[in-house]
Amino acid sequence: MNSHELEQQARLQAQAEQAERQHLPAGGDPAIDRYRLVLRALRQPLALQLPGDFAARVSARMVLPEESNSLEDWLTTLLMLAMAMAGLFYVQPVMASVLSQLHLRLPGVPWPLLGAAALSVAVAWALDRGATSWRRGANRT
Amino acid sequence: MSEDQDLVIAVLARAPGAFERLVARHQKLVWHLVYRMVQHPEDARELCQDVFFRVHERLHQYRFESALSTWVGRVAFSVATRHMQKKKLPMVEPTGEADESSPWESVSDGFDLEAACADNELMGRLAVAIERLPPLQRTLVTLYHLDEMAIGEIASVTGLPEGTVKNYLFRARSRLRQQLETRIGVAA
Repeated sequence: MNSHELEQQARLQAQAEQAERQHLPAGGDPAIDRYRLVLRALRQPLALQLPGDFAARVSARMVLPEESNSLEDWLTTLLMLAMAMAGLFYVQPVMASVLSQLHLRLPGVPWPLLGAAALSVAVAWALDRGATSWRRGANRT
Repeated sequence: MSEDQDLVIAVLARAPGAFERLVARHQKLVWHLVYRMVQHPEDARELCQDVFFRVHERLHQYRFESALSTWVGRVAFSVATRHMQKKKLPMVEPTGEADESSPWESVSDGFDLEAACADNELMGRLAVAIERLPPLQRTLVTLYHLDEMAIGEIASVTGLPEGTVKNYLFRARSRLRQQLETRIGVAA
């Protein structure tokens, strides 16, 4: 196709598009009408479509793993808490002796105050984690 | 855009039913894009699911710089393109198409547009001709004519320059008209 033909075809296509947009009656120029037929064919819906329940199915497949993840999160947190408690129980006699030795060696350091501060930080962190998990759970239901 | 924003915020906040609404709103566009590219129904259905998994996974990266449909379309196009590359399927046919040499000036006086539209056989053949276009061309004509996307949006979805999109559209329509002329027997 030379440049003149290309220009002519481009003009015909543009005229056909305009005629379709303006719902002009057919029968003027057969060359334009043929392009109009092509445009109408291009606007036909596809014969095959996605199943009607596609959105629900995809959505369910996305949400279910998240819910199981949230259960896993809770179980993991519980397990970690249990392990932490057991660990504290186990090391408590050793820690007591270590603390008393530290107290003897460094009597100037306020050990009870440091212990209370560490405990406060741990409780604040645990509360924050708990609140976040609770909020997530509330959003899902 | 604000509707998009509300929906995205709802999905990110995991509001019940929000993601399903997002899928329902964009599944047609995604199907058109993916099916037109790969042309294999089962592969296309699976790829559509992949598209929405990716959308779900990456929605937090959406910055509201374009319409949500454009962003989703971009994800769909990238998934379909990767599939085509993996299967080594050509997206665009080689240049210099041999079948574009038929007479352009031949015009039949007997062509009746409305009668042709009502001719199921003719429309069916045109549908087949559309399916036989190169994957990229048939995808672009579908996005432009069926989904009524603007050239700029299509360029954004596909990453092609606007001029290239226009060129592909032109060539696809010329090719279809040419096949139509062959079908209805326009005299040379």
